[in-house]
Amino acid sequence: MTDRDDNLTPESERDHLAAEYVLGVLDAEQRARCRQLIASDADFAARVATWEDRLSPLNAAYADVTPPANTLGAVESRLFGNPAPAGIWNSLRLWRTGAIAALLAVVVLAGMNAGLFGPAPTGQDARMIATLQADGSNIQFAALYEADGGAIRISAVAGAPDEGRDFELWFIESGNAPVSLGLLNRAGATSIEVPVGQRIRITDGTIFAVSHEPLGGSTTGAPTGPVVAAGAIHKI
Amino acid sequence: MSWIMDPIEISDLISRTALGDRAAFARLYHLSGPKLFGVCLRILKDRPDAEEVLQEVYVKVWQNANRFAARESSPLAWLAAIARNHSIDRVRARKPVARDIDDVPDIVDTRPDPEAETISLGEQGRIDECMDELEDDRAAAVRSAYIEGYSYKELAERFDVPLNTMRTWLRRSLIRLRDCLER
Repeated sequence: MTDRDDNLTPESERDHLAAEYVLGVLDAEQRARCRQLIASDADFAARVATWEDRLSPLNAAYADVTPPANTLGAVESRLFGNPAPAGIWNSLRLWRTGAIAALLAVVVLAGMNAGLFGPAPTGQDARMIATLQADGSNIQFAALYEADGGAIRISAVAGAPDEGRDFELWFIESGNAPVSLGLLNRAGATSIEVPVGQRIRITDGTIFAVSHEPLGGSTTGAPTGPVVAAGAIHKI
Repeated sequence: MSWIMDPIEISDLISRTALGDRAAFARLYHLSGPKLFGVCLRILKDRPDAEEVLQEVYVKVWQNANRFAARESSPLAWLAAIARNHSIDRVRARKPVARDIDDVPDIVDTRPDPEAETISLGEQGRIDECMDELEDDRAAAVRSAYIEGYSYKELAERFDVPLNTMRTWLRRSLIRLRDCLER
């Protein structure tokens, strides 16, 4: 052991303070001072980050302990107020005006190819479309719903599920829990027949969403993975 | 589960959280909550406190997610640092009443559990090698400082050495660890 560490320069002092902060040995006042430095001094903040990374393998000593079941709900209440039952779904930007024209082209084209556009339907909500997308996600779907037969045809405009996972389609009536409509094909279009009892619930403004699920889909009856795209369905 | 979490997925979820995606935030919580709760419990050694701090940790994760994107760091290290810092700050803010040490085994095994060890053998193996280069009591002091969040004063008492000796131990040990890890 040399005494190089006793030959202190301001720089080595700063680095040592960062290390002590990360190690956790400082008292409350010194820690408060470090927090101020982190906020105001980029060099010090970088040193702290480097020490965090350096010592992070020691995190392996922490065992997993299941937190109380209400934790996430409590956090969401603190952050977002009292969320509606479908709260997490509301944060998605549900409709982007700029996408409507492009979407119409995609859906009509897909519909024509699939021979979906037969004689004009009679019901008022007979044919509806949605574009599904989300902030922070480049995955996008176009969906066409034919009320008469309860048929949804949904096509991936961009994006595919990760290897070993599936996309699952859901619809959400305002204030209610999402209802699964089944898995999507990994590529191309998917046709889904909505169960007769559910058809009445799909009206102008109903939200459709796609979540990223384990292979075979959610086993809980509710989405377990991130919502990668969502959008409201509207009459053409 | 635990640190078996896929860092790329965790990074992605933090980035989405920064964009206000609540579903991504919920998923992030489900993946990382048990590990971070383990961190809080280990340092706070009090369940109600740990439950409260865990909530604060995730409030902070939501609020600071945008800072993560700007930083090149392991997402797990970033999350654990938030949990450790909150827990340690809470401990330091307590009135200086001794912790209820009777509730906690005095000598806690701070070695990584075997499962965790196999996970990140690269990094884990490296830090263990570097720890092995330290004297046993120095290495034990570093581990218990980091893992349990003990202050200099607590460490000096536990290792039965004067406060300044403990400061010197840790100063030299940290420098040697840094030099070893960067070799």
